[in-house]
Amino acid sequence: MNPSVKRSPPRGKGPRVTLRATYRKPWSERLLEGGVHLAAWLCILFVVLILFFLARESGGLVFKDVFQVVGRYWRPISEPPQFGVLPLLAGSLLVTLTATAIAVPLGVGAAIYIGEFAPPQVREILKVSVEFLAAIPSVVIGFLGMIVLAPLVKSLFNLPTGLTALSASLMLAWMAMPTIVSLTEDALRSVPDTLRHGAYALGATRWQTIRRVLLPAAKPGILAATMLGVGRVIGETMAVLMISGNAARIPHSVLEPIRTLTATIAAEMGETVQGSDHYQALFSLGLVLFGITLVVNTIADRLVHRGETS
Amino acid sequence: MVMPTTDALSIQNLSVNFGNKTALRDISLDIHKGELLGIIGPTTSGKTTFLTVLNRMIDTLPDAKVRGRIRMGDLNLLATQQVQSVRRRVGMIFALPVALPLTIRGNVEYGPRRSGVRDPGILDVLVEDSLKAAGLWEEVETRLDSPALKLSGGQQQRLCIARALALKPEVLLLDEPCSGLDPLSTARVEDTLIALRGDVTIVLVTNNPYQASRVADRTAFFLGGELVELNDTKALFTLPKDERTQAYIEGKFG
Ligand SMILES: Nc1ncnc2c1ncn2[C@@H]1O[C@H](COP(=O)(O)OP(=O)(O)O)[C@@H](O)[C@H]1O
Ligand SMILES: [Mg+2]
Repeated sequence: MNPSVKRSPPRGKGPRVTLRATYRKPWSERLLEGGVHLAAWLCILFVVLILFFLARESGGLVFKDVFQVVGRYWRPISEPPQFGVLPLLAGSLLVTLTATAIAVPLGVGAAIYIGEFAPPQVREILKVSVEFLAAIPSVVIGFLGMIVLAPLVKSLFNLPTGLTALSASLMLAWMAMPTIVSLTEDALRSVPDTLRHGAYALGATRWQTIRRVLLPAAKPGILAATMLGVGRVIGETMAVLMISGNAARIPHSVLEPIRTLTATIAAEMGETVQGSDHYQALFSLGLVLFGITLVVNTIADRLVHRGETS
Repeated sequence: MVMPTTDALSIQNLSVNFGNKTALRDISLDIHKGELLGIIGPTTSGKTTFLTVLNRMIDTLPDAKVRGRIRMGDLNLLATQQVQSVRRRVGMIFALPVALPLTIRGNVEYGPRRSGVRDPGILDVLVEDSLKAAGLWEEVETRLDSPALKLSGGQQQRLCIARALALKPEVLLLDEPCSGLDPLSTARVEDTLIALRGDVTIVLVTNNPYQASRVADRTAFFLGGELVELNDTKALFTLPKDERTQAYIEGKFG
């Protein structure tokens, strides 16, 4: 677009020209406007930069034969090395899906209880606890997982080790819950009382009202809550590293040890020589993660948006 | 005017308190079967509270205390545990139309479905009949499955009426149903009510005495939680017995 067109006063439109001439934005306003503009562009710039450096450091290994997205073996230090991403991808996918399947029903259920059933004092206590839960660093949760959860899973299922995909999923579900609970509760709270009364006046019970009116009305918010929770699950590294068993093999059940993309990067980065194939392979994993995040976010955005308009 | 044979609702010595605030004081009145009873009065005179007692919506307000007796046929309406059933028999329409976030069809089917009607054939008939009775059928016939929230305010209000009618209620309570509507939509809602009168007992609370004088068989005047006067609409508006009634309608009309 040509900016001079915008600025030149339209001919023959007297009043508009005068308006333009007399109104000058105050300085503070222009400064602020410039500031927020800059901030917005910086966000985009960062994303582009991350992508750029990931691509540069990966040195195009993604396109070479040693690096196989569907390869079955991740053996970075064997001779010759094999960089098959499938086991890590499967590990990430397995814990993410399992954790989501645990966290979403529990989280939404807890939010319904807090928002619709709990008496005021109980509600306050619950809300504070949920917020506190959200503030616990994931490493600490990882410790708990190692000394409490893993032995429990081990003895419960009679396994050789408790460091399994299931343990990791439970930990991750625990970490995703606070986000899901508090955002879902906000979404339910923002449903106007008029809707609840409308349903009650038609002879609906409390549960019927929740199921058929409140949940549909709060759907965009609940979806957003779910996606943010899933986001935390995908991105979480430390706790998973500590408790998932760290075995880069394609799992056949949740009771086997696994390893995720993020855990692999975190665990192996320190041992690589800069510029080596292994180093480049880890950055390539970063690219894969980047792609996954992009896809998940796009889907989430579509879902949330569709919910809003319909 | 139709001469009623029995009463749809018989209210005796009804009082309602919110904490130590009295919202209704010792109201006694009979609502005839099939009549259109108008209720007028200034704000905070207890009109809304009165309606919410009649279908037990008052139960959703935790600090409300209700005393008195209400009889609906053989039912002791204030004592029964079957709150959902009372609300199906006595429908309520609010001032602001609240379409549920469902399709047009979904809104009308909502009540029947919750009370256990599942047969698609029966539901279709109910939807058509109710929308026709509410005077909305022609306008939405071709888009029953589009979101109800896309309808105009006046259409949504008639949808709310249809939704309530789908439960085949004996009594329909309307709380200032036209306060948010333009004159044209108001006229359509009034036509709907006039057409329904006789089949359904209607209690219409209105902040606009003109509306009561246009459509109601009898009109009650509430003030400060008390029933000041109840009479045939024409008599109440032309020859009010109580001077407070006179002052109110003169103030509103003058
Ligand atoms: N939920 C409530 N809690 C406390 N007081 C209420 C509540 N609802 C109504 N009231 C009081 O009851 C009185 C009657 O109110 P209302 O029935 O809404 O009158 P109207 O519909 O005629 O304007 C008012 O004084 C109002 O403040
Ligand atoms: Mg009112």
